Amino acid sequence: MASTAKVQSPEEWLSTLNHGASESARLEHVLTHAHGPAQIHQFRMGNGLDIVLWPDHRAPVFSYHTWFSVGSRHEELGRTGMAHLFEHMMFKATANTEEGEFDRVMEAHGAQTNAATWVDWTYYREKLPAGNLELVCRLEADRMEHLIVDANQLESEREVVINERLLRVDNDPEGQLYERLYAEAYGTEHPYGWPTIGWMADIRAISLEDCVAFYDRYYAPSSATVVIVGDVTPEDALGLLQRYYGHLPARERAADRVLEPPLHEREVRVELSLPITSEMALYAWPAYGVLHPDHAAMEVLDEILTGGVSSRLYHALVVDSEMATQIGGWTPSWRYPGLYELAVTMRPGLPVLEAEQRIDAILKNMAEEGPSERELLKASACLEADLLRGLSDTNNRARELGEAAVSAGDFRWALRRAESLRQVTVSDVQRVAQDLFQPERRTVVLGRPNIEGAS
Amino acid sequence: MSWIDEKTLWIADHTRPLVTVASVLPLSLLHDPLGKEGLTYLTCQMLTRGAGGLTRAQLHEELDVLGAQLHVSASRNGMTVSGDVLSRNLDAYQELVGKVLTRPHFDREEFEKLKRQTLAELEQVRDHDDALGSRFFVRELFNDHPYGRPSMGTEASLAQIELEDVRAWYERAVGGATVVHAGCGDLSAARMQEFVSETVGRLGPAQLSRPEIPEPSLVDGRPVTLVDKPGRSQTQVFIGQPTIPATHPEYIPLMVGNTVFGGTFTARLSHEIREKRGWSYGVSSSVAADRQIGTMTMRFYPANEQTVPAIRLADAMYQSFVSAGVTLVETEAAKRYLTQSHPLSIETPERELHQRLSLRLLGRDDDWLDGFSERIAAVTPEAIGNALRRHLDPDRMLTTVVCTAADLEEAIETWDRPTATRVVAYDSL
Repeated sequence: MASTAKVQSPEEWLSTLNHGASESARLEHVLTHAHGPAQIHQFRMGNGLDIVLWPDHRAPVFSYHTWFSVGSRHEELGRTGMAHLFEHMMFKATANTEEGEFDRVMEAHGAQTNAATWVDWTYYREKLPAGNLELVCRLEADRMEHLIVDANQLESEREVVINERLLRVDNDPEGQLYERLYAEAYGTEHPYGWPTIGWMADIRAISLEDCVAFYDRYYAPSSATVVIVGDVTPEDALGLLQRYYGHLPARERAADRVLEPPLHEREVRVELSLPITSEMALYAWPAYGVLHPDHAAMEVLDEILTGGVSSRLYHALVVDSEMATQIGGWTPSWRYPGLYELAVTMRPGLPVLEAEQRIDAILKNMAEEGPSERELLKASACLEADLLRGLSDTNNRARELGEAAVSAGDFRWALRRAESLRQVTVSDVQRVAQDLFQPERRTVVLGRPNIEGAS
Repeated sequence: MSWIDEKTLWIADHTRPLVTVASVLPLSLLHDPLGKEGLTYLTCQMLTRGAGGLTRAQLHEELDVLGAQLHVSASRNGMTVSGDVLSRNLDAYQELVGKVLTRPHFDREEFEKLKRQTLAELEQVRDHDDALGSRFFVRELFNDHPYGRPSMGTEASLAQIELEDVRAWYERAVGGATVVHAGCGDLSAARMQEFVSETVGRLGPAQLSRPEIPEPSLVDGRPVTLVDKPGRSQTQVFIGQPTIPATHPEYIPLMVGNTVFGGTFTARLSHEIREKRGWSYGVSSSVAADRQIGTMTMRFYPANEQTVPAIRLADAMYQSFVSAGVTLVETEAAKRYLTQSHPLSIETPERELHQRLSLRLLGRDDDWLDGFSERIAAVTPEAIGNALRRHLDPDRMLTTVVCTAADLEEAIETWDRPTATRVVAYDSL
């Protein structure tokens, strides 16, 4: 027998939830977006908290993300690494939970938890079996409001972060190359010029007062987006969010600052002497911000150049000539223009400048001739399959939506990406290649082997 | 999820136009002939380097046009042929996979390229301290035992392998009774069966006997190996020993015990080394699940000056863990974590597919996943204690540290546990 239960609309959910609610707790329905059979809803609480809900009952699991609009680009000179260090602090005690209790309680309920920081954002994620939504709402709201920021907590996490930096940068040749690339491309005073993990001297210098000020400034509902994907109902989720976050007062959102891309008049080129067996190089050009109309074309261009064994650069350098063992490309999805990167690792004994000549010729050809229709078809199929692979897991989906909400200002950016990629034409790709690959705007960081036994 | 027949698993999911398929064959890295380590690896790699009239470049171009991936790889437990494709292109994908498996070219030029590439990759492992440490640790832990053989071979063993060896190895070893096939996504059960019969099903029989795997030798005392690499300000530490396989009746108590010791963010090791002291960004212990020999390993990466204190602390904790076992409170917390998080491990069709495939690879019962919570619920602190004492021995463990040896030698001498300390050059393997 068919169900006769009437499906409620977002407005009907809110008429109940908003009855008697304080101004800060009142919920507003912003929009509902249809994605295939799925309905994805966006709400905003009176205190500024943004909420994105994607109910999906296929597996008894849900993912809960809290995205804060603060990353390394919001930091100040001398205090780089602040956003990342603070991400570590958020797992410490609160006024209502003891040291370690957050992780203990989460684990007792089977949660997978973690967090990450980058230029535009910091986010905290949990994935749990269905039925645990209230627990996550309670603990996340609690650490947004009641974190204890004290000297002991700061010092223990400072040590951990110093060790993380030793791992990711100081003892990792690639980490050193990337750090230098961004410092050279942007200069040390531009926020994209310093590493998200921070300079070592700054990590050591961050004070308790800095942490308290940072928490007060950025960890508030008006800077946060909660994304929930999975086995939850919107009515339950909204009710719980209202209960645990509704009392938090509205706070003015910290002002953003517009960042311009680095436009050199001459190529910047540096060399690092590193403990590596083969020569390596990073090549980078100012790219597009996430909202640029040619962002999708830039992604297609990268796929055509480096997206697999048959891509132009991989085939020429790794398969055909064998001069390199690896070549990869990367396009940023940052709010403001980042860098389009190419990274190449040579076969031991071969000079990277040989590869550079081949790369230059291929990029020049791409700008002059553009890609073939078949290359476009191939890139389009590969990107479509990649997107579909990512849509399976609730955590991946929450991540896509959260990042789009913060970096692009609209979670729908992630869902429209497939269509944007499909619309890219051969001439779009050629135009982007012409615009991007301007020799005078390039930054090059070369890594040369410096240890005995290395070639 | 359903079994179409005894060897074919199918999980339907029509919400995305994507199909994932995988087959497991009996050939494993352990079949590599002595002196020709890397033969199975090269054979797997050569299958996707030209087949059915398509060159390597043409084959990969065709796969890309279909939005497809295809991987052929081998582990100690079997050979896996797996990949995915946009479902509208499944027919064309099936044809390509069939060509790869049944009509490989074994082109001489491609073979020479593959050997050169493999040698370069073996050399480049030295650039990454974690992979470098793992290479030394595994090699020394198992010595001449088959588990100590390098999967990609060595410079010496690769020099002994000719294209004819690979071709003969393919004829002899690739095929036979498939262990299991699995498919998920946007395809029907009948289409899954057709895919299997037109790809792996067209392989001939293999002439393979089950590899003879002797019991591994126990580590002799508490040796320490410093893998000396210049300019390190941080070390990579591996401490471990061989232990029981994934099918052993006491594997589950051992796994629950490890969860208490080093399996989560709140485990003993993490609490003492990371949370209380900040000595390492990551710290954990694990019991590797393997069909025949498991490995218990502790891992962390402290700064130079914190390395010996961290090793000493981990060692003392391990001694106490094995001798005193775990408490009821700890046991119940670990059991809750393992049972509650179990649904996450099979959240998506792809994840469930790989979980169920691994059961066959490891020789576990098919009901392992469905009966997982019950098995965990039955574990007691006493059962954990017995498993720890029977299958772990703190006095027979290998410690491998990637470091600049001169920075550590003096400090390591202050520790009374090593029965032998040696320094080896980072590029000696």
